Amino acid sequence: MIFFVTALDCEAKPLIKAFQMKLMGGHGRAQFFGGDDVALVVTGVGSMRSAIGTTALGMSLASATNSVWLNVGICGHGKLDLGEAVIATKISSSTTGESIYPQCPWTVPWKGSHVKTLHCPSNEYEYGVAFDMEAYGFYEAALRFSPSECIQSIKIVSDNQHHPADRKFDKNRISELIERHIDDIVSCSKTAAQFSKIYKSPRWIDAIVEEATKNQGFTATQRIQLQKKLGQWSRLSEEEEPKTIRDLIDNAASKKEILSRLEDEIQGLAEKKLG
Amino acid sequence: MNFHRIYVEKAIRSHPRSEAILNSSPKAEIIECDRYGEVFNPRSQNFRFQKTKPSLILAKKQGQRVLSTPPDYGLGADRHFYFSHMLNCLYDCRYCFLQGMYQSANYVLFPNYEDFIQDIENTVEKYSGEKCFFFSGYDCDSLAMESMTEFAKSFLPYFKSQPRAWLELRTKSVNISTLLEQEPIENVVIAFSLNPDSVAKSLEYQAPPLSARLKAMAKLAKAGWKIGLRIDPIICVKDAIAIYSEFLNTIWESIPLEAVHSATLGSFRAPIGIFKKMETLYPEEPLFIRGLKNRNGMTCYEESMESSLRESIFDQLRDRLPADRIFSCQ
Repeated sequence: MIFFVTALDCEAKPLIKAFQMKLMGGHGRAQFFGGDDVALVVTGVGSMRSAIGTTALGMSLASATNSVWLNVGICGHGKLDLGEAVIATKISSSTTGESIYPQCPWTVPWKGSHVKTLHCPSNEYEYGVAFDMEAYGFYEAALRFSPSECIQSIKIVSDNQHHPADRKFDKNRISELIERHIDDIVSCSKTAAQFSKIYKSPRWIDAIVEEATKNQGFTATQRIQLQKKLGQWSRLSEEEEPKTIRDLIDNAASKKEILSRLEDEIQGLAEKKLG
Repeated sequence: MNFHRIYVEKAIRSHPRSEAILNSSPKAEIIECDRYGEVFNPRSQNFRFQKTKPSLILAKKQGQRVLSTPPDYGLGADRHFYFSHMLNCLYDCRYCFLQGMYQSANYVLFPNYEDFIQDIENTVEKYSGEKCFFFSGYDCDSLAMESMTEFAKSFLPYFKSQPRAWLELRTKSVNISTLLEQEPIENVVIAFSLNPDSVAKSLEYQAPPLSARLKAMAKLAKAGWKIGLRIDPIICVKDAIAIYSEFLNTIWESIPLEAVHSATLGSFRAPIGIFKKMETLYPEEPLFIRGLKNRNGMTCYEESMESSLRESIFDQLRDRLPADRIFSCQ
């Protein structure tokens, strides 16, 4: 699943349109939007609000773990032209002085940039550095749900030393700046989602664990063991339909037998695969 | 090598070796950091994801650069040490402990070789009168990235000048031109990690095939270099005894016995915590599922599964090599 985090409505607008998302609730001032395997939160401006919105969205959906998290928004830049996009290679907080180095093991169409998250707007541009007000808070919060490789911050330059930021936002202009990069953002998010799929178990596992817990009275520990073994079995067998497993559960005389027969199946598959 | 990102510690940026690497990577994005640990150590990283496209980190190796090996890891010298000019490996062997030990798959290169050599020299002086063995290739492959690191090229002259200090270059690489360009050095062993072809194909991703490694060994042996055979870890596959027996025969056909300095045999083993991380990274990996047990803080094969294979390999090594050239790691 892909999770987008923006500070402003106008930053979110092109993403909501591209993924056909609909309003699905919120948390405080943060608004949640959702679509097919995609969700978005508009957090409001500032690192803290971004962190709160990111956490709230992540806590509201079980699929947040090991998913893709993208922060999309505008920034000021001390070198680049208006409309250029960058991906954060280093995010530092002007408040704490600490830095994070997002890892990106796939090809992206944007230049990398140091993004400095400020606590208030500034027109004092630093050569080669992007300024924003959310990336650090977003990133720290998203790390609770996913590894660094699945979390990226993409910034589009809305102001620089030749065109300093206005006090008043031109919302249409901001939407337009994001819109220019929407195809790349969509494509990048889908590439990243392919990576994160490695760790997703097929949905039938949850259903079988639920059934087994209800019908056989599995304890919490046995439930975890069953979940792990079913995950191993599904990866080794590459079977999409769990018929073998259903038969195994139906024909076993006890909980213990289910787990031991499943283990035998797994060992057999592993031996075959290892050669 | 083409890196898309190179992280560089400010303290090492102007080192000539750093500059050479940075100049040879004009397309890479250069990202400065204060300490490499800021990039390498954070916990929320996925080794498997990073392994698909690792970045390079250039850092100054501080603190202890030369360490004693654990007591059971020796080759019969008076003292055994290891050092790592690099962390992480070009290859992606599924049994490797590095994937469970480090948070990141990015390569860390310590270009301050002069400090390593000084520490090796100090160690040799400290134990004067004793034979000291230095192992390279514990946290990385010694030769795989030679074209960029010039590691062997930089370290061999010291060992040539100091016959009491022995060096083992542990590798799976066939990158041996640096060695073939010079006269063999009496106290340097080129030790190849080997496994049967079928095991290498299913577990040693990106590494040269067995046949290529054997050819490289043969060339080095012909040139007069001493060769180490490192059968580590042995993997309990189906029909393992027959497979390993054929594999050993292939080795004997490839290199003359007199070129073999030593052979070591190692079991598959990993500290429990490290193994758990490896298993989490690759939940579909059959190696991590079949026949393993936790014993004395390590995850390893069940004794019954492995002992006959170990014995069989040992017997065949003993048939060819003197007992004092065969060592075991468990």
